Amino acid sequence: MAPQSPDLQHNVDINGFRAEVIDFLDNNIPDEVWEGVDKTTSYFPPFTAIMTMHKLLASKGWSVVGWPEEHGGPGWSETQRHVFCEEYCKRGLPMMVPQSVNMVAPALMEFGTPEQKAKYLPRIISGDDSWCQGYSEPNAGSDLVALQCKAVSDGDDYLITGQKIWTTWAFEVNRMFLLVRTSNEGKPQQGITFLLLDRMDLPGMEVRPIIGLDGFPEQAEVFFDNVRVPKSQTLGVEDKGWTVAKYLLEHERSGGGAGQFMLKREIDWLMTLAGDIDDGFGGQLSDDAVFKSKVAELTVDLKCLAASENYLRKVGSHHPDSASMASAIKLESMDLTQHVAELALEVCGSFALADQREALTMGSQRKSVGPASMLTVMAKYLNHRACSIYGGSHQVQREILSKLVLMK
Amino acid sequence: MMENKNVSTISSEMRDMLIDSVSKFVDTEYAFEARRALAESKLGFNPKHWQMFAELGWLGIAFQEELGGLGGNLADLPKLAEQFGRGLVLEPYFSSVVLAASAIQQGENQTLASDLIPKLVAGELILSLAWEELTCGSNPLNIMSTAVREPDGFRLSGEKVVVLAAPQADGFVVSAKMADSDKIGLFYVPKESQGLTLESYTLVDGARAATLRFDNVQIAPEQLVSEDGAQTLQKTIRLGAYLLCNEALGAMEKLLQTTADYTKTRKQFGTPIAGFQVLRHTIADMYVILKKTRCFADQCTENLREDGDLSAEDVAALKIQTGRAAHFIGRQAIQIHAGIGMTDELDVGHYVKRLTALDALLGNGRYHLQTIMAAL
Repeated sequence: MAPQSPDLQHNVDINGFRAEVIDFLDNNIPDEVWEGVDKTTSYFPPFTAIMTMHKLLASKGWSVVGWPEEHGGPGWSETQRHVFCEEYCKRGLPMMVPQSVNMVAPALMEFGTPEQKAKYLPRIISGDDSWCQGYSEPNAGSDLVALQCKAVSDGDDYLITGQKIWTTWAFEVNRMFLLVRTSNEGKPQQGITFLLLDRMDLPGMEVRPIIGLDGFPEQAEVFFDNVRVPKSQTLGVEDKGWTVAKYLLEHERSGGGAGQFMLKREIDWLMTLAGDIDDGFGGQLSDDAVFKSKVAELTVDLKCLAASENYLRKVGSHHPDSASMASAIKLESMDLTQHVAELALEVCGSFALADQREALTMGSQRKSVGPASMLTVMAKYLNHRACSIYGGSHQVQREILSKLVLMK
Repeated sequence: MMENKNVSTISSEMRDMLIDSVSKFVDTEYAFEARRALAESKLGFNPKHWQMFAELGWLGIAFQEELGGLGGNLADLPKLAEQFGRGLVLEPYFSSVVLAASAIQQGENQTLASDLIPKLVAGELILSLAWEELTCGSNPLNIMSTAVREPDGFRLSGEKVVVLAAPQADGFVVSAKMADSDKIGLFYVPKESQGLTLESYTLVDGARAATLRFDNVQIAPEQLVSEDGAQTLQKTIRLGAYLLCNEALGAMEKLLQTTADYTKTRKQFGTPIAGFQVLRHTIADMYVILKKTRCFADQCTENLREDGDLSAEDVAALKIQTGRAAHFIGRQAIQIHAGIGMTDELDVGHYVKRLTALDALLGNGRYHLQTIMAAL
């Protein structure tokens, strides 16, 4: 997203920079965040741990490392960002709320008025605001342009009526960006408007958490019944919200190149797990040739994913390959995430079956049923089934990709 | 001698009638919301259902008439297991009848069998088999629990994990290494025994289980099920695994049906999603993997009826294949339902969790692959 800064890069002592990052990350993280790391069972770590971490990083000026300097980013070179990402992710530390930092923020930078940028961006940087994304509806998932939640003009305001679903953390955050239908004229994508909501409890608005397969809420439904929002809350132009949405979806898809570090950690975790398990015949599973061959296969996948992410990072987002590579990386990183979780389940067998909800709750002192290393195995396995669904399902990614390939 | 015991006197007509009543039970008592409430209840099953199982003779299908049973054997149970799988039935039939009681029936202590099995058949006793240990790697013979011989019986120490239905059970069949012979002994241990403690928990599929800790538990000679019980234990687990696979067939069949129905009603891009080739092919693949698994399971049932047992290799292969099918069908069912398939509200996830458990119990595919590899 940020322009490369080769000049700056030459002037930075990258080893010194790495040492500074390591020193900060090793010595300043509160226990609450580490608890969140240990209890992470989904793409999204526990929300409170993320926001604690966000504010801590903000105090250091590091909460929005991918942003351009003019908007409040730290002004790092590409290499510095990569080093930070590596050190951060390999510790399993929580990623900042992507809907805030990587989605609405880039859209605000590209399409926002000076007033909107001044109002929203600093509060994202500080962690005072966090955002959720109101895109999907019950009948508009993969087919997003079919969305029906409508905003009717009423003087200087819109009146919003309809429903959003799969709104991650709608019950935790304080702001929402959403797509609404402002016109039924022309093609379906032509009558969509992108709105910014300043509160989650506007009159007529109701948020209902959705309990997931792991027994915890992460998604939510959001209902609107004549919710009044000033037209000045539009990002971009009325009826042209699809342009903003498309821009933003591209940012969601690429994942910023962090997948390789997060997955490296997960593969290392597999070896730790297997070290805790007997092979049934007097040895440790971590020495079992069949198990090791499976981990070896995943390691090859990881090397390819890392190289793909590095390639996309190098060519940037305006290269002819970037759109198809973003989809390819989404497919590959999500597959690998699922395969690691599947192998963890396979390794643990019946020990993974216990319902660990009490031990997984943030703040709970309850110990895991069975070995602590296995605490997250089942919840991760179940949650990661969503990897091939959210952010454009695998079927949709393959449609996008095949069109791009066949167009060539 | 043991083979004679295994000849079923239940006619195929009677078997069909029994299965028909099981199927009706599932239809009337196991609607999804009722099942959810039962899974979340304190007990985790319905004692009235259990009494009904006793009255209708279901608890006695696999036992000889002199023990109060109907004179059948475990080969009479695959279709019952399948119906239970279809309804995600929570009553502890499997742990009680298929594991613990059949181990007792096979054991050398006929006095104990004559005491316990009639009570179980009458619905007065719930049992479970405590065989698995944290370090056994799913191998029932690779255990650390020990039984030390004493003048007045045995002293049992050790820890058993994921003991199914343990919080609901009245007693356990427990495996332990005989300290003086290194053989595997099987013992009947009532729940209230001094020195036995339970750490109970719920499993992701709503079933109940516990970790059992035996701290010098005194065992009377009459509680010895078998002093050299390795074969009995292996056979019990072998046939148990075969029946778990049949239970999985019912859950998979239901999940395929639910998913196929959903593709016909769910619309995206202005058309039912069943119109998309990629989803049609997935449905076809789900069907293929289910059918071939079913054919294999049915062939195992025929072999079991003829031979009174199944080969370790066949059961390992069936367990591996069922695990593959369970995961494939479960994962695709979620993928096709997409967001809604990830919610606790829909039944799909509950079937997926049960199928995940069915693969994991009694050794998962990874464990059983070793049997096939060893036979190459």
